Amino acid sequence: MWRGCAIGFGVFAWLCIAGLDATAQEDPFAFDLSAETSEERRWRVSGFFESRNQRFISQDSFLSLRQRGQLEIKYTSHSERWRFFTSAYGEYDSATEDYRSPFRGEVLEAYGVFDGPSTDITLGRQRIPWGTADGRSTIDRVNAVDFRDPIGNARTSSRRPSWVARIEQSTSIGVFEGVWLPIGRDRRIPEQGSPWEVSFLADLRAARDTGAFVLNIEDPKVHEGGFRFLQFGEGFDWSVAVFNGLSDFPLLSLQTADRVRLTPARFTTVNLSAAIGQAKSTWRGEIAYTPDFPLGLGRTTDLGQVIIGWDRTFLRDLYVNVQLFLDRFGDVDDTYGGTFAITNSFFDDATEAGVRGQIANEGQYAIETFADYEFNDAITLTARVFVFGGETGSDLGEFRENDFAEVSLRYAF
Amino acid sequence: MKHVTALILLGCIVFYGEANALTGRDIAVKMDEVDTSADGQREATMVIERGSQKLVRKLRMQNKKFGVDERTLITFVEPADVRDTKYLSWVYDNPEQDDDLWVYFPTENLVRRISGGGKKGSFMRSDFANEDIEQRAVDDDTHTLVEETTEGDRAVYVIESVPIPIKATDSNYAKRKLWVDKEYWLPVRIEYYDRRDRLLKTMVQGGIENIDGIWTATKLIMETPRRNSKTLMQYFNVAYSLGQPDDAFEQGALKR
Repeated sequence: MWRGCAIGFGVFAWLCIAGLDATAQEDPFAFDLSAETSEERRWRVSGFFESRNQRFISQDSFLSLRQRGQLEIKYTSHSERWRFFTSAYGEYDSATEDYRSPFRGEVLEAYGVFDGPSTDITLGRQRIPWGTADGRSTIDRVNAVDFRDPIGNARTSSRRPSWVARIEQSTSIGVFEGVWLPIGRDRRIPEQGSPWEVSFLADLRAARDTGAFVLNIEDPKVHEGGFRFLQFGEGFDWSVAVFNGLSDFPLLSLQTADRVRLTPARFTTVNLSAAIGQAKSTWRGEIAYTPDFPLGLGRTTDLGQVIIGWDRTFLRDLYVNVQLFLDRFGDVDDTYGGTFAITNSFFDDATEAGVRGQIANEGQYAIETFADYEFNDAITLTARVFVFGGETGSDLGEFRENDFAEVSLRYAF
Repeated sequence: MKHVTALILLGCIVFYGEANALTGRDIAVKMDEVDTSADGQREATMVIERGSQKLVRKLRMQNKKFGVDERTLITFVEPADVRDTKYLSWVYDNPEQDDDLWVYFPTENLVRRISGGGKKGSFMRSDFANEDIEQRAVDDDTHTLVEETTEGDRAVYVIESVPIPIKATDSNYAKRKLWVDKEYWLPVRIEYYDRRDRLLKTMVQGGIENIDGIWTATKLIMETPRRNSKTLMQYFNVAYSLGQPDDAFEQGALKR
C-alpha cells in the first residue's frame, strides 16, 4: 500500500518536474497576432448604436429618450490622394414628440478631400473647428450651434456641420486656409415648447399664437466664409483668422405693431490664437475683435474678447483644464467667467470620471459630473448629472429648470 | 629582467583590457546606434490580457530623424472608437527642450497641441506607458554597467539606467534595468522599478530579425504582475529608410 503510494507520488513528482521543465523551455515569443486584427481596406464601415436617456431632476418626465443608430463610411483611393467620408443617423426619441417628430434622421457629414502634395481641397458637408481655446472659442464660427439640442458637454455646445468648400495651402512659413460656405451655416433654433426654447423666443411665439402680430423667423441661405493662417512650431503654435457670417440665433430686426421679424445678422470677427507648450503645461489664448456686433433692432456695438486657458496632466492621468474669458462690449454689460474640467482614469483605465463646466457673471453656471465606463472596446456606459443656474434672462439661467441625469449605453462597431 | 618584462606585459594586458571595457553609457550609445536608418515605419498589433478581459489594438507607426532629433507619427487603426486618431511628437535630443506633441481627433476634425505631462499614463489601456513607446535619448538617463552574464543562451550586458533629475519627474520609473544582447545590441529584457525600488513591470523582447540590415525586435511582452495584466505586441511590415517626406511629420499630415 505504502509502496504503491510512494511510486504514485514519485510518478506525480516526475510529471510535475517534467511539466515545469517543459514550461521553462516554452518559447514566450511563439505567439502570432496577425490574425487578431482585420486587414485594412479602401472601404471602411463603422458606426454605433446608442441609447441616451435623460431624465429631468426637478420634473417628473424625461428630457430625452434618444435611441440612435449611426453609420459612417470612409473610402480612400489607392493613391491615397482622394478620400470620401459620410456619416448618417436615424433615431427615435419618444420624449420629444410634443414638440418635435420622434422619428428623425439625416446625413451629418458628407465630403470628399483631395490631398495634394501641398494643397488640400475639401468639398461637402463637414465640421471644421477653429480656434485654440477649449470649451469656448471666439472664432469657432464655421459651424452653427444646434439650439434644438445644444449641449455637447457642460463646456461645449453641439454644432451642425456646414456645406463648405475649403482649400488648405501648406507653405514653408505655415498653412493658409480658406473656407467658403455658399449657403451659409446650417442654423437650427429650438422648437416651440422645447425645454431648450429661450424665454424671448417662447414669449414671441406665444404672442403670435394669440394673434397679436405676425412673426416671421427667417433663415437666409446666403454665403459666409473666412480665412486663416496657421503656424506650428517648436513649443509654440499661433494663427490669425477672420470670419464673416451671420449670427447663430436670429435677432429682432424689424418690429411694427402687427409684424415682427427675426433674422440672423451679419458681422465679421478677427481673431489671434496661440498655444504654447511649457514643460508639462499647455497655455492657450485667444484675442478677438468684432466691430459692429449686432444686438438686435439695428443696434450694434464693438466687441472685444479675450480667453486665457491652461491645462496640464498631473500624476498619471489627472487632467486639469481651466479657462478664463471676458467679452467686453462697448454699450452693454460685459460677460466674464471661466470654464473648467477635471478628469481622471480609474479601474485600469476602464473608467474616466470627472467634473466639467462653466461659470459666468449673473450667477450663471452649467456643471456636469460624469463617469464613462468601458466594458470592452465596443461597449461604453455613461452616467452624468447636469445642473444649470443663473439669473432669469441670462444665457444659462434660461435652462435652470432643465437639470437632468443621464444614463447612456453605446455599442461601437 | 624577465620579471620586469613579464610585469610590463601584464600591465599592458590589464591596461588594454580596461581600455576596452565598456561603460554603461557606451552600451546605451551602442543600443542607440542599432537603428541606422533615416526613417522607418511599422504596423503594430497589441493584445492586452487583463484577467478575463482581452483587448485588441492596432496602430501604424512612422518615424524620421531630423539631425539628432526625431519625429514620430502614430495612427490608431483599431478599436473602432479611436480609429484614425493620430499623435505627432517631435522629440528633442536636448534633455532641456520639452517635446512637442499634437493629437488629431477625427470625429471633431481637430488638431490640438497637448502637453507632455501625460507620459506616465497608459498607452491605449495597455501595460505600456506612453513613455515606453517613445524613443529615449541616451543622455535622458545615467547608465551604469552592473554585470556581464547570460539571458537564456545569449550573452548580455546588464545595465541600470536612472533618469537624470530633469527627466525624473516625467517618468513612472526611478530605475530601469536592461539586459542588452552583446550581438544585437538590443535589450532582451527590461525591468522597471519605482522610487521604492519595487519592481513595477517587466518587458521581454524577441523575434529578433535583421530587416534592411537593422536588428529589430518584432515581438514584445510587457507584464504588470500587480495588475495581473500582460500585453503582447507584435510588429508587422517593418521597413527602414523609405525616404518619407518631411511634411509627413508636419501637422498637415494629421488630417490625412
